[in-house]
Amino acid sequence: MLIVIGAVIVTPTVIAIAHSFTNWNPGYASPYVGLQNYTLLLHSAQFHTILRNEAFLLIGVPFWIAIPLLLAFLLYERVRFSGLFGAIFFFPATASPALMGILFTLILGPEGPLNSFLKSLGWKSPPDWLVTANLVKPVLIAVVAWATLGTGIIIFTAGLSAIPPELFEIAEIDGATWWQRLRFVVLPALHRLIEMWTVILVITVFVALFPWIYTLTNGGPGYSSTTVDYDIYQNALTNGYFGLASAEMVYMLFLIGAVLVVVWVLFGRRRGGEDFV
Amino acid sequence: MCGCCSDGAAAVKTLSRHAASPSRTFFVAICTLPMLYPFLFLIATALKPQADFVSNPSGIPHHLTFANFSSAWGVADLGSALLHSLLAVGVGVVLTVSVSAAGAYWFYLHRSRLSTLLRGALVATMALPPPVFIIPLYVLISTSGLANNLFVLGVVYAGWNASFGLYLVHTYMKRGMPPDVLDAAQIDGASRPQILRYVVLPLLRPVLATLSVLAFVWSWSDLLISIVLIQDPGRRTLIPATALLTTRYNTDLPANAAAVVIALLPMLLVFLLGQRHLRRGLLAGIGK
Repeated sequence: MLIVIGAVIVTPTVIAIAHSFTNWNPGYASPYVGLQNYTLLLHSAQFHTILRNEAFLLIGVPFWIAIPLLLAFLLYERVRFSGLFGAIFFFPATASPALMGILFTLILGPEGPLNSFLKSLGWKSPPDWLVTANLVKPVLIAVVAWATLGTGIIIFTAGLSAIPPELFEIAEIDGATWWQRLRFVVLPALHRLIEMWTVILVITVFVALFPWIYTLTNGGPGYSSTTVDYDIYQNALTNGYFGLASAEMVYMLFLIGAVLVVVWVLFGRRRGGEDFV
Repeated sequence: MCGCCSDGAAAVKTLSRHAASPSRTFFVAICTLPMLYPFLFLIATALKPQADFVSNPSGIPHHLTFANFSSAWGVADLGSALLHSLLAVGVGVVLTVSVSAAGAYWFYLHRSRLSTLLRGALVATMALPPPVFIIPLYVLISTSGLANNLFVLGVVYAGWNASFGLYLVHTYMKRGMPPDVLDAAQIDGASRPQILRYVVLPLLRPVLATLSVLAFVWSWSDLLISIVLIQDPGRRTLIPATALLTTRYNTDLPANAAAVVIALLPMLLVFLLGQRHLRRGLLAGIGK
């Protein structure tokens, strides 16, 4: 246990942090360069673009929460075949993101089904979604919404089934509409679960988009869809800048930490000791 | 409806206070279309002759063909890639489950402040995702001559999944395995290995099944770790082979679709058989 986790995860992480202060050249001397990698990144226009991309993608988080929440609440009441529907929503979330990325390159391609559908609606020349700089990030947000929907529904459905049904009955007797029950019964009861899902989504934005970017856009056009995890891969394995990639990794950890602090503050007072991360 | 979906349906049946509403059911059915359509399109494309695809890219195929499957299978050498994936993921799953079970059992038997701290530290490595450790791991592995080794890839998968495994199995043990059970077995004269074999493992079977399914799905889905650690084209695993096929031979889209179908089938199979475990593992992961 100790050896496997130690060898695979802990040792490399420590090595990377140590080497982020060097001009790391595996197999050769790696001279110490102090904070050079860090300042280089801070002054790099490319790294600024990447940070802006990450910030833009974080705009997706409220959508990635709201859509599964609404669907989970819909599925919760008076729907037949809800198990079957749940499975249909869930499967894409368990399928390999890399494969789903390839599938979406076909769907979003210039001659793909989305554009032929839009043409049939009368849009003469719909855009090429994955190679247009100011469309590619919204498209990514939509694709991630599709891919995370099933997981969100599972989590919120579990949360809903833990709410005493009497609460809904009382609300209904008092004349609460569907919307009011969502607002005043579901949202308060699922507060902690929504917070956890937010944490998972934030981490996803920073560390789990690699297979999507790799298959859908290769970070392009230009750097307009490059994420930190994709850039770490590029810097180390394509460009051979291992020290720079390590410094970028350290920045990434700090950024995740910073955003999670914001999430924690936004969600207000501290509850329970059971933390996810 | 398949048996695996029944728990959700049963929950709704007992909870809903009113009869099912056809209009709402219909509305939800409409909502599932965006989830289903991409897969229908994928299968239709994979079965379409190239010429048919050019003239009719998004409609129903006019003729069916399996030529795309054989061309994808041949060009990307998916047969070997499938075997490589089975080997690496197989090693990964077996190692994840055994290491997690052994680790959790050890922590269950040895309770002290130090062991709690150690367990916390091991579980906390869950917070270190592959983009954090993959680059230095690549350097370590390639400088020690272990690159392009599928067995090593399996070990890496285990290291990646074992922190969650430890958490999952240990939590399950604490809740579902009172120490009295072990004591009783000991009083009856059972030896340590016998207790493990006849008492602990049978009790752990459900959680180990859940962990196996999760470890399979995660490792099978992986692109990043495999594409970095296995760069020899002759040893690629299935997902990287498929991803590289689609970037290199971008023009033959039906063959790309066929490759995706091939790589997806094992995942669909595991999903249909183990959906309950996937849900359970997911919910355990968020502390439900």
